[in-house]
Amino acid sequence: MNKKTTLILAIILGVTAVVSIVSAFVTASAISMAHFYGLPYYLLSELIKLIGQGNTFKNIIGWILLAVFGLAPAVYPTINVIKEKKISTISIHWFVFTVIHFLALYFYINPQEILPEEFFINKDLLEVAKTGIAITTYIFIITILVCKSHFDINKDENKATTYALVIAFIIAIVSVFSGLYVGLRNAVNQINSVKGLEDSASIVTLRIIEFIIYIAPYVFGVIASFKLISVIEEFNKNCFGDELEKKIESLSKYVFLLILLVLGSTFLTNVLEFISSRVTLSVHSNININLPLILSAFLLECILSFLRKAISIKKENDLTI
Amino acid sequence: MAIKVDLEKQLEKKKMTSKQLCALVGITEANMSILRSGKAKAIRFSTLNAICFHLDCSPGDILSFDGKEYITDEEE
Repeated sequence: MNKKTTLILAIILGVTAVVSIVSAFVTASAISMAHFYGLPYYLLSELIKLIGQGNTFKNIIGWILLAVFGLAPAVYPTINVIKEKKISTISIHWFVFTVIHFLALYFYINPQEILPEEFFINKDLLEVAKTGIAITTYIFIITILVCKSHFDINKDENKATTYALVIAFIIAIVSVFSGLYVGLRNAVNQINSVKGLEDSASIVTLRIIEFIIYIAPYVFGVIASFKLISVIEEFNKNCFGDELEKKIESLSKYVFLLILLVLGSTFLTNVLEFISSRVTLSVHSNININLPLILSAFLLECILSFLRKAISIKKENDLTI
Repeated sequence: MAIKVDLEKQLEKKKMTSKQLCALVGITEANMSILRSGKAKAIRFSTLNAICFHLDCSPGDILSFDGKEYITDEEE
């Protein structure tokens, strides 16, 4: 990954952190959004609880998992310190990060051990605390990424920064797939709420179909983002190549397909909601959501026509003697 | 392309190889090959000037129109 991309990644994480902090303090209702950014820790803590069968403090497996996940960032700096027999600045940075990361994970698993009772009376305060500790760990990753993008660091320290990139990548992946998680959780909640009622089997089937319809465009959206990454890579490699033209053309067709999928999914969801006699969704909100997608598809087509012209001019120029 | 480039006659007349002409004109052998094979889309006046100067001929001696229909860039 080059310096420019690393800096962009750091900026994205930085903006995420700022938005989270602001949204957490401006209004209590926006806390759910702030909590969204603490989701990687939440999911990891839920996983440890699940495998450790409950509270970590009652179970040796839980403790082992906490140690493995919590102390993982310290592995490389420790090996490096033993090998080099000296502590570099970035190693100290990583040790401090490991402590905060471990505490964050411990806190997510068992908040009542750390926080006073007031935090549990006011749930908003608990959410702010959870988000705050997650963002603190992000800030450490951001500083490491900024160091990598701005200063010439030696080979060993460069290896250490790869850790930051791996963690940033995990955060990005978890953030992307959290949409799937939220959809799944809602579907499971809805299914649980109708269990035991009359005709529950048909309602459960309906919810499952609804979930699949909800998920389909989302999955296609994730694939589209990977296609976009490959377009950016190709652009950096050869911006006047035929390969780039093919990739943009494929992405543009894909976005149009995505629009159809989103529209189809919205329509089917509305129909299903109507069948199950629930309140129908507002059509206006769906149109608003799809507009940026439609505009981006036309923008891609526009870029494609410019690129085609540029490629033909470049070819002609190459064949001018 | 209906415009044909024929360097062979002039090269023969001057007892010169295309490699020597490349060196004199200042173009690469790859570009000379494009020019001779008829794949070239355009030729700069400066290049044409240099070729004519070193082969001691006029543009009409190396360029000809085969009389076939007019083909646009898009059609090509």
